[in-house]
Amino acid sequence: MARYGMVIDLHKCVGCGACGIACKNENNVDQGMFWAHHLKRTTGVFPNVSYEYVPTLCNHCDNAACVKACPTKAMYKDDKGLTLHNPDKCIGCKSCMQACPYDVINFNSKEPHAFWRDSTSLIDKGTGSGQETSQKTGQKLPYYNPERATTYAGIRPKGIVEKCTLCDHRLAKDEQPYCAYSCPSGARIVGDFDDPTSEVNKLIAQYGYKQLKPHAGTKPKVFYIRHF
Amino acid sequence: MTSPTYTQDLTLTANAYKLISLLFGPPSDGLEEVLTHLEQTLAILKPKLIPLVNEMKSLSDSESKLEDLTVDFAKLFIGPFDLLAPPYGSVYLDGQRRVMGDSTVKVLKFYRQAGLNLSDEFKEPPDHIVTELEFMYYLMAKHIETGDTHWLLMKEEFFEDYLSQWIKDFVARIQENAKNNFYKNLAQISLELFS
Amino acid sequence: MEMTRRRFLQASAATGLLVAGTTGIPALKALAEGENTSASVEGKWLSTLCQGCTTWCAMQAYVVEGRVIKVRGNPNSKASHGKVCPRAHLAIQQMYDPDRVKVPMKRTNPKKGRNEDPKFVPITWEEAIDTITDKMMELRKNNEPEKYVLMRGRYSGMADILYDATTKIFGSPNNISHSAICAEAEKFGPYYTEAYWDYRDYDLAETEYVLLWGADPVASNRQVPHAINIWGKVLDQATVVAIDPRLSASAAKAQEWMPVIPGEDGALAVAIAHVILSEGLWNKEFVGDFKDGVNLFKKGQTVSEELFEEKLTFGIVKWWNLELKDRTPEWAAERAGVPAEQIIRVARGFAKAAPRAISWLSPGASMQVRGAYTAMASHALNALVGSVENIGGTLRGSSVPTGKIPSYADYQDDLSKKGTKNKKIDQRGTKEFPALKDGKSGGGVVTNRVADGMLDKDPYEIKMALAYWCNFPFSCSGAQRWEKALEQLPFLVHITTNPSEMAQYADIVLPAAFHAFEKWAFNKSKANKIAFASIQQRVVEPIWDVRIDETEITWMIAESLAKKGFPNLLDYFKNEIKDPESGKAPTTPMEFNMALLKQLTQNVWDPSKEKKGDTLNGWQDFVDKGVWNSVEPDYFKNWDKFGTETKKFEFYSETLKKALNGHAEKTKTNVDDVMQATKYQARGELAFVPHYEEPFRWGEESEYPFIFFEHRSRLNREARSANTLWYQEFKDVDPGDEAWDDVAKINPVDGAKLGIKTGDKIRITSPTGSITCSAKLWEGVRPGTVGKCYGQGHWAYGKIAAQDYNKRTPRGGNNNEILPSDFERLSGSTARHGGVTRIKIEKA
Repeated sequence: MARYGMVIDLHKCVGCGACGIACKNENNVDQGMFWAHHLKRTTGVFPNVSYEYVPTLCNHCDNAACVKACPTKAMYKDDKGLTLHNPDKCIGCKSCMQACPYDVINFNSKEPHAFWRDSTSLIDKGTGSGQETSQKTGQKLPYYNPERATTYAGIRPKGIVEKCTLCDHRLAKDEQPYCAYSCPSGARIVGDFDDPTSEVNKLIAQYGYKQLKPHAGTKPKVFYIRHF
Repeated sequence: MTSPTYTQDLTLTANAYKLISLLFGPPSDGLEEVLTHLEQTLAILKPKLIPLVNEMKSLSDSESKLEDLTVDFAKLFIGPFDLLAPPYGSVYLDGQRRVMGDSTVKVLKFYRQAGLNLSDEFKEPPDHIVTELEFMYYLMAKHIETGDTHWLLMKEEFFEDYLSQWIKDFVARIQENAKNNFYKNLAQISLELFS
Repeated sequence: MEMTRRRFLQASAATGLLVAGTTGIPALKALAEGENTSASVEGKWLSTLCQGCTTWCAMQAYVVEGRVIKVRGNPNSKASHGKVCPRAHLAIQQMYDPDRVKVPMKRTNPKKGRNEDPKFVPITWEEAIDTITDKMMELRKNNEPEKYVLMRGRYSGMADILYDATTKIFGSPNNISHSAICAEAEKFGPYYTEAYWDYRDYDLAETEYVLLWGADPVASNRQVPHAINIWGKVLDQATVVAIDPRLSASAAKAQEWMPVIPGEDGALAVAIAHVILSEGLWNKEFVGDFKDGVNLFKKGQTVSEELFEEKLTFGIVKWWNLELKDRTPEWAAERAGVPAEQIIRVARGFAKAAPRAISWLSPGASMQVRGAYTAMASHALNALVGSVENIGGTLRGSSVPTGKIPSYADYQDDLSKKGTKNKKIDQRGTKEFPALKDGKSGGGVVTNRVADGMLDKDPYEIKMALAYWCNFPFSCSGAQRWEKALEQLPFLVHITTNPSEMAQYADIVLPAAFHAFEKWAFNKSKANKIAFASIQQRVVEPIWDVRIDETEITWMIAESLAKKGFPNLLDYFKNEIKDPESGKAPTTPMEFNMALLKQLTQNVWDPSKEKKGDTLNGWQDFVDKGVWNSVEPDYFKNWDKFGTETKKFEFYSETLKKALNGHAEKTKTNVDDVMQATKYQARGELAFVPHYEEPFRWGEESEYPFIFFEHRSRLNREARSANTLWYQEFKDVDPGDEAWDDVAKINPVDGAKLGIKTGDKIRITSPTGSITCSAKLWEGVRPGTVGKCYGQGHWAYGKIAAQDYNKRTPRGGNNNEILPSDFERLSGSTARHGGVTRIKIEKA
């Protein structure tokens, strides 16, 4: 067994959003859905103002509320401690979304990537269209990442939920999750919390940590160190 | 738009594509059932074609007749020497049989865009008539299932840009070269349905 | 045989037949649903270059089956630590933008205007080029080639072939760059103190104090990935102070935020200098000291020059006497709205960190009507603490040994020689527009003046323009003037990826290859003490019928001109541009592109050429690695030979004095009159030292109660990314901003007074224009000021960028429609910052 999770160093984080954008890119996530996103807060009164930015993603909780709530075992814990989702078992009941305290599970209420099926062009025969572009590239999404499909539905169909898998398809190849890989500040560190020598354990030992909604009892495995 | 007759017509057309796709496969015992379905489908869509179907039934109702068909099928569509009516779009569109020619890549892109891949069991390239007809059927089926018009648009586009560009030449070669009326009739029905 | 419905249902399951009125899953034989899940999708990382901003980072694109899937920083790039910022990812959606112009088009509605549908129809490349060269030949036939103008926006290292050679061989002086709407004013500071007209590099790894003058390094220009990557370390070891009217991305992370009143940056700069001198905190090694070691810089008192022995600087006492002696922190606090204690604290901290202290210039504090002296003052702080070319300080870059285009003088005929001698349409070098780049009157471009020159036909009429990768009716302040100027321009060719605002006025629209993934080119830049050259590679075959702007299109024009009796341009290309490996002259547009690219970069990739930096093993190695890195520059390199008039770092700028006198002589007047004409307040000797100038603002406070200022987005790819989904979905990563929206940030105190809430639609009006957008009440801006990001407000460009392209309804409002066209005239720069206009706000 392993317990994979993430440390986010808020001191290094500059709030640029590269993690969230890269995530959508890697996982073929449709418009309006976010597997990795952020919380923002501006506090104080001018000129004593502070701004905080907290990157968010699935916490891959040890005691995952979504897994407990799922009636079909579509949501499950794997042997790396990841909270994963099996689209074949998912019936789209949204129980997991209601149970998750972090609002990181998304529901496909429509057939995804409608943007790339839109056939209207602004200038007839002069400019392209979403449909023409996707057709020219031969994919539902011109920059469709086929590697995503090696462990999860490449694009999740209408009627089911979807969420962060901590890029299990990349971890399987010994690569960092793409959000961590794409973070220009090196603020996201992924590792095994069961391994006492891991970088993630060292970091939380050195700096202490905060978690989001620890009282929800879900034992989240995204640990925030230092301050934005 | 979604009146019952409209949906029924779409369903029948989709089924006709599927059935013709099956008939362009190797002759087998199941032919009778497929032809019966085709007859029923055409009864509403194009009744004047029913005599052609009936003749096809009579040409496939025994083991020996099926053997004749198999010979004709092989000469037209399989080889081993020059195919009399190659069932591959690239032959007509690129001027030669190119397994991954420009037009074939285009077809593959259409499939991918619809979320489809080639089946592992069917060992033919993407531009085979069976595959393309099945694709037309699939797109219509998805439209009926979801009510989303983009499937229908995709079907029309696939037909306009691709299938319509070669199917007439293909059936003409069958009509010219087939020994057996079975495939001549199949060619005639295809022509009627696709023009 | 009759089939019952029941039998049919059973059969249909086997054959996959559908039954009307039921929904079933279609059965497939030849095809299969779902994606290919086998791992046989191996892609390849190919090197190229991001041009989302002018950091110009070397990056790599992951290509699978001819598609760009994703991007990353080029691991070989030392300047960027192998990273890219969030902008780079948006490049993918930019290339696959559904609204891209896919074929050449011509206008069929001769009437031009924002609300005129150009009625574009597709044409062939042949017809497009033929029409263009007909117009060009007509100008030559009428002996007026100067009436052609080339407008350059985003460009590559190969630009000169179109920008310079083509324009000049054709016979026009009018090659107009966008530079002056971007940055030129900030370069004025280092030039007129240490004779360096360029962006600086900064030694962040070693620094202990960073003063950001409106700069937002973790978010925008320049060196963004480097800054983001190192910022955690910088914050660990240094004090960061953000001087910015807005709580910027960098201010949010800084230890100190000095929320200066827009345009008052200069007051803070001279007050910080005052504190450093009056408290004796200057760097003695660099500046020198009083001969007897007693500090005589006392508030309000002049000092005798001979008492001070200067070392590497010139004019410290003159500066004190002319300007600094009265510029106390208390005086500055009143002007700038920042407490005197904070000014003192920052000045002391900055000086104590010397020489590991950086005063970081940016457009924000210099692209102001009277911003040239702020650029000088803030850069002079570096000299006061001796951080110029010092460890942990401000640096110049190493050189990149790329080549220049061959001389074309022999290919100019009499007509082109005569034509190019005409004055330029941007009025540079006139009394009002000194544009003193590199010390020369009219040495720099005055980009935004071109619209006025065209409208007034001053110095003459422009009849034809070829504009590439620019969008002046959107990106220039006083944007409405550009719309008018383009309405009356007889013939416009626009090379563009999108149906932009500028394209709406075009007679011919040519689809441009998208720089990051569809072009073969190169560029050079610097960051993290490393200068570099990076390849820009066509990593995928373009899906549309595009051409490379500077080379392929230029070649096609040259060929067509040759056919019509003007072979000079084609001769120049064929004779002077050769593939350095094969020695062959090009015969096609793409061969020309590749030959030129290899020729200009040969020093970089040819292992036999000596240079200070990486050794590459030939052309293919350059393409594969994607980047050539220089060595780090030496510290103290110019300490004994600053290129100024005095060879010293000048606090009293003899260099500027010479330039201003030269300009005054040329325009037959004196320096005081030039100051008057350029809207400056200084008279006499004050014009030669960094000094405070009151901000110049359009509009009376009684009618326009708020000071408006604008800023940049960390997702702006030069205002070209607003048509991407990710830009809109993540627009809220700019502090205070909202996704899918364009907000004016208003302090809640003002919001309450106006009865305006967050989310209300508001109309913002300045003396020159009016826009609508959403209100956002936010504590990150000062009461009395309103801040808004640039980048939204497109009324064309695409389906996402515009709220309704067909109706010309913008998403939000373009700041450039309320910003009046004004200038920092000494540099020629557009003055978009410093609260150049006042505004009023109403509910819309």
